[in-house]
Amino acid sequence: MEEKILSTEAKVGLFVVVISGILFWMTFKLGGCLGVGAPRGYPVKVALETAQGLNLETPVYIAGIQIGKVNDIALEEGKARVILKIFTEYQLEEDVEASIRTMGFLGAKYINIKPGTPGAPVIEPGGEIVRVKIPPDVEELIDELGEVVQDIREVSRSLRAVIGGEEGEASLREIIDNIREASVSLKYDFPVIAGNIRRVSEDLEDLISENREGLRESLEQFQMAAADLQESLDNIASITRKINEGEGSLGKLVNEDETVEKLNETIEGVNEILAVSRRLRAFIDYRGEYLIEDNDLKSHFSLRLQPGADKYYQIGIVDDPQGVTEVTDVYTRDDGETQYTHTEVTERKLKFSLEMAKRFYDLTLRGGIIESTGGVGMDYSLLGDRIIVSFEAFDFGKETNPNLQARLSLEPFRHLYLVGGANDFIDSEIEPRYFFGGGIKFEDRDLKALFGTAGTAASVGGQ
Amino acid sequence: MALEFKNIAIGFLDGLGRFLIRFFEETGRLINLFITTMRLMVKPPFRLNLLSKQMEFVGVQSTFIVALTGTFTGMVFALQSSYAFKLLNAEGMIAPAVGLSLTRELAPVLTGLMVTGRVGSAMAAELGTMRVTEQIDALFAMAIDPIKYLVVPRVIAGIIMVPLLTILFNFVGNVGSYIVGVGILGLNSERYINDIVYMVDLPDLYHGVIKAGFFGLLITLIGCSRGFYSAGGAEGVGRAATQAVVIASVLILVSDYFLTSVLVRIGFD
Repeated sequence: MEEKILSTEAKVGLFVVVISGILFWMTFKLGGCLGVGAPRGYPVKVALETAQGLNLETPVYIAGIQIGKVNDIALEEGKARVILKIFTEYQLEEDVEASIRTMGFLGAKYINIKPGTPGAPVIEPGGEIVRVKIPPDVEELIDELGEVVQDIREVSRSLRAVIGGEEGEASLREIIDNIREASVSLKYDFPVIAGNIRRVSEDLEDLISENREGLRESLEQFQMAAADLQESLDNIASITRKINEGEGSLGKLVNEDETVEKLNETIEGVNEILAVSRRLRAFIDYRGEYLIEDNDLKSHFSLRLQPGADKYYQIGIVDDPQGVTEVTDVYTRDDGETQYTHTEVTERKLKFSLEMAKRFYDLTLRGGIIESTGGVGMDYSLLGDRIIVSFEAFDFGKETNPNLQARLSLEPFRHLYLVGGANDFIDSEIEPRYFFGGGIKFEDRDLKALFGTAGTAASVGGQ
Repeated sequence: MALEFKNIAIGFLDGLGRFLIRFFEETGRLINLFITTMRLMVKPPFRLNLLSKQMEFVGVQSTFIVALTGTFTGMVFALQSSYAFKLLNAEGMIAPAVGLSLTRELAPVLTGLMVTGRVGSAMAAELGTMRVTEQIDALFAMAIDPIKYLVVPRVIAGIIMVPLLTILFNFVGNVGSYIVGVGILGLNSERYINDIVYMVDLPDLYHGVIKAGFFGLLITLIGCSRGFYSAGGAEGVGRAATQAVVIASVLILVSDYFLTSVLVRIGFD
């Protein structure tokens, strides 16, 4: 018996696997099951007068190319609110126009989108297409056509009522008779009228010939006046030419491109400043931490200035019961012997923080002066900033290790948050000092306005 | 004269009676075999080597013929429907029309008919030969249930493999229609696929596949029954093969109507 390359089982297995593969592929392609294989997209709303003929999966086309599909249809305030799923690679400008069209004469309905102005702002995910055009469908057209026919019929009926019948005929005949009479009388009157006109023109001619001298004088005076006018006009022309050629200060101002550029620059600068101050946000944050070991309260008060979503500057004042330790090392030379005095004076006084921070997605890195010493920190945000995990390292100048702080803050309600953590948790010599507390933070719009104005003044002054 | 008429009438009634009796007998045998097969199907021992051999015969070896039939069916259907849809200026409907017809109707029925021709006749001939050469009796004598040994693997192979072949038919059929639609009629490629995906839904696919499973059962059961109960030597074997093909083909087409109406009623529309 010859050696088989593939055993019976192998052949059957291969067959079943290949066909099952085809089945899975077709299933995902047709059903879009579990979203596998379906193109990714973002939702865009559109409100239509009628969603008749639309169903889920109805395609959305621009210029005959499918860019999305209908994802959901619901009734909202008497209109059909249709949610489209636009594929991620396509973007819609805000002034696109949506309409329902029919493929061919009898075909299925689809949503056609007329492209907007290139460069116009695009619709964000979850946005809405505002412009909608409803092309009349065949039934409506037939309805309207019926109305038009009805109107024509009424008009013709009333015409018939006026003209038709013996009365109408008689009045028509009367009108025609009147016209004929008028034309006949005109025929006899016209020569008389023409004679009158001729006489009037002859009288006019006599009048002109009698007063010829006086007319000439008037004309001469008029010529002199025209010469004066000419001179005035020449003067004006000379002035405008000077301005045009850039002579004199007015000319320079008007003529030089530099003026325009400067004006433009100034406007741009003002625009930029306004934009920055409009973006700028100011946050006030107060936090009290109860230090368990010290049985005392540590307070933080800070002001955060945020010019953009991804960075901020923070100025803070901290009241720490631990105080500031000042180290003094004194070397004294006494009788040839070197004496070394080391004094540490701890004094409770306010500390200052000045940090700048940069945010990458959920991770914020910050650095600067933390509690009056150099330090760095990082925050990791979860659940849309509702939970923030922070690490800070500062006071590197300490004898032992730098002060490391881990902190977890929870914001169960807007503006109010709870905080808990540990200080010095890396230091092997000192026990970690735990704390818990709470705080309040909010955005201050008045402060923002203040900074905005100050910023504008500073920027303008600097220019 | 009267006697002659009487003889003809008696002969006619006699023939009709024989036909009816044989018809009921065959139907009863088929149902009997069906029930026995179903019962033995779930009873060990499961002879997997026999099953895979039959699966290879029914499924793997039919791949080429089904693929060929499917491709050309899809191609010719796209070409034909294009004439009709061009009249309505609705070329966009070619792809969905072909896709829907294939998944719901053409794929299961044509696959069933192809498998009947290839497999049904071969099964009837094989089992018929075993019957007339008394091999089935020999199995019986060795205390091996011939239905368990011969019929069950064939029926299972049919129920599994005909749906799989139908899926293949669907795939190559749509590929064929794509070749004609895009390559010859010059329709837009992306649009063609989108139209199919838009109009053809998963229930359409399952509709066809469920019918195919039933056809697989029908083909193998009739093939086995014809062979298993054949008699009359070489001639009987030949007759069994022919009858298997004819009965299975007719039953596929007839049952297709009733299956469709039932499936539509229960929601596979």
